[in-house]
Amino acid sequence: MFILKIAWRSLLRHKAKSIIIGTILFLGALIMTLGNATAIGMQRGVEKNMVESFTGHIILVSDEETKDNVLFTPLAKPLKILKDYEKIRSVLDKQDFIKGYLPMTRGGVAILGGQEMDFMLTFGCNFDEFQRVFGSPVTAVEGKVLHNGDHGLLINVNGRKTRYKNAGYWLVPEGGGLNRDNLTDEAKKEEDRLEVKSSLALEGFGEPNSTNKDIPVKGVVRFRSLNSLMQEATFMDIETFREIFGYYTARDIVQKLPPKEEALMGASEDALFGGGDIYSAGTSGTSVAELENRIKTEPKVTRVIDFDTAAYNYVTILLKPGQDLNASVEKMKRIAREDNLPVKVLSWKKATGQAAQISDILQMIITVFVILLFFVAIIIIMNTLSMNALERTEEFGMMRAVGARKSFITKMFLAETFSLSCIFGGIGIFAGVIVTWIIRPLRIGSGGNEIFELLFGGEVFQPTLGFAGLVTGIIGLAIVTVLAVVYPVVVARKITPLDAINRH
Amino acid sequence: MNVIELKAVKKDYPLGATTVHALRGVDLAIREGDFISIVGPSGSGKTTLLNIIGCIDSATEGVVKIHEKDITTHSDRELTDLRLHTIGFIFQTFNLIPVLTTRENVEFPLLLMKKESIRKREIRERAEKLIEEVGLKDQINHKPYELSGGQRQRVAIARALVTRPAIVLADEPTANLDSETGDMILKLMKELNILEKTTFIFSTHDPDILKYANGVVKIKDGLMAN
Repeated sequence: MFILKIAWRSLLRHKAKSIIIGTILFLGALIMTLGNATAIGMQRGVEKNMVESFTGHIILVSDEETKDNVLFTPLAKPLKILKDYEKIRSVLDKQDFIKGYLPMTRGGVAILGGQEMDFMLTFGCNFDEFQRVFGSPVTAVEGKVLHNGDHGLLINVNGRKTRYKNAGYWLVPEGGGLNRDNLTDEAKKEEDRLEVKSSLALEGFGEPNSTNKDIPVKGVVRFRSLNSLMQEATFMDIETFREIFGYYTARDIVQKLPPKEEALMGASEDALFGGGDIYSAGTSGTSVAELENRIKTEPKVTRVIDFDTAAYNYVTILLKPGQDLNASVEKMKRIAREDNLPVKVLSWKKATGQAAQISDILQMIITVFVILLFFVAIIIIMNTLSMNALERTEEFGMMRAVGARKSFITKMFLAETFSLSCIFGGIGIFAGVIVTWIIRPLRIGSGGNEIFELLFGGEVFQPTLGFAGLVTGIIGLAIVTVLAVVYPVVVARKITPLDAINRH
Repeated sequence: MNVIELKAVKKDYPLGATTVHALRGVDLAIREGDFISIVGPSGSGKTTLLNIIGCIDSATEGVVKIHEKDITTHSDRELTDLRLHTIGFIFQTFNLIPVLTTRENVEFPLLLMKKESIRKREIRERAEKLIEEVGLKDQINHKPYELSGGQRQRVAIARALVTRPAIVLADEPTANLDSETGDMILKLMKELNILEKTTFIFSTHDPDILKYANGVVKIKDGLMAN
């Protein structure tokens, strides 16, 4: 108490210096708190809007896959087909750290029919399952989302604008008319000669067996957020995706041929063609009417489609809340090894490549900025405190002369600096919390800028300061104070009674 | 018993390329209860000698013993504790903690001794008694900047005496006091000297102090004159 009393009165006595140091501490704490809030908001936004809405935390790809960046590479080679998905599924079903999982396909498609080659990144899945696993992150702006075995495309609302800008046509859902309200200003000007399409001729890109197909647009959709960043991501029902990439479809598997045709499939060439000329004048003996009748009366093929028995490129896994990402990735790797799953385990950060990298870089920039700020604050505070210590040579020297130990001077100096830090730094952190609290409801938008979307972790700036953020701020402030006070304390401790006498 | 003993004490100060020999081999023995005055012209080494005895400065050569212990080998902490418990120092001009009141300044050394469990009440009583004795009862809650030079010096004297040190060193203690106050202070010191057997060593030019002293040490050019 005695030391605190002296410290407090000293601060009041040296008001100008106290205010200078206090202001630096206040600004440092304020900016640090806002930086923290931005970084945490960004992290949570990306977590919520990208990971929990689309990519999942962990991605399983084929063990033959060489690259890690597997999700957002529109012109990359198609991913390898996952082997033995049924086994993967049975293993994933047993894991208690997994909240949900979804097998998907991913590939670049060429849009045919335009004057210039155009590409799109498509994801194929059972869309009902996608909505269930990710908590319905996709909503229809026009038309509807894919449901109950629908075949078709879901185009992102911003992707449609880009397509219009680049290729000159405006996409509308099949059976739906043109909604003027959703047109861009440019499209509105050209409305009378606007080329409107409700389907796209797509061809799987990069697969030898790929084919093309005219695929109807079922809906123009919005993701929960990050609509600029993910505008190229188009959804397609899994079977259509498999068809245009020439993958093995679920229909291929369930196809049951009538007995006569099955027998033919098993017959040898000689049995089929009699070993003679393949050309013959032969007479069929079966009239067209008879054939037509047979087609009508043959038992129909029963199609019970289990999509999971056919081709997928990857499995996205959502973790239960509170699971550590890195630990879970390692755990999944161990499980895959022990169960001989033919998969490669990737964290979402690796799988999303550039997107996660940019997000990390932005976070690093914020961190570096805050550290630089810390550094400058430390230098200024250290300098001011050192000058203060030297100016108080007589005071400290006299204290030492009457019997104050160096430890007393240290405690007094620390008490002064930490008092300043607690008061001004505390006000700075509090101000940071208030500013964060004011900014959140303002919902400052990213303006469709992809970098801002990543920086914000979504389409609106939502700085967030949880308990962890506050604790980080307080620890940061304590570190600044400790680092700034070390040298001045050394200076103050070195002051001897003789220095004080000589100075006088 | 010698409370203070100096043998061949030298003190050199480097001054640019040259060296100033402040003390050139001082031998001195002061017994418990002595009331000694050190006299000599300015620059003769009086203050240096007091500083060395008061553990504020160290000798370049020689032996300095306090209570028969050689302090030249003491650590900084040991010297600090010696200053706190054994020595009271009254400086010529450099004196008080600016942010503390008269009472708090006087209490300061006792608060540093807190570990020796001097009760708060006793601290207060001792401080108040001394403040009264130096005639500053009405200024007990004043800060140093509210006091005159003489009043500050009296606070410094009270502070030096409050720990009841075995040795009190004073560098021109009455230089800033009027003759009446100076006389009052000297009487107080003499009283303590007689009652508590406190050893007093003064450096002074004031002939009035000499009449209280039971021994005079003359110093000139860093050497004992007699």
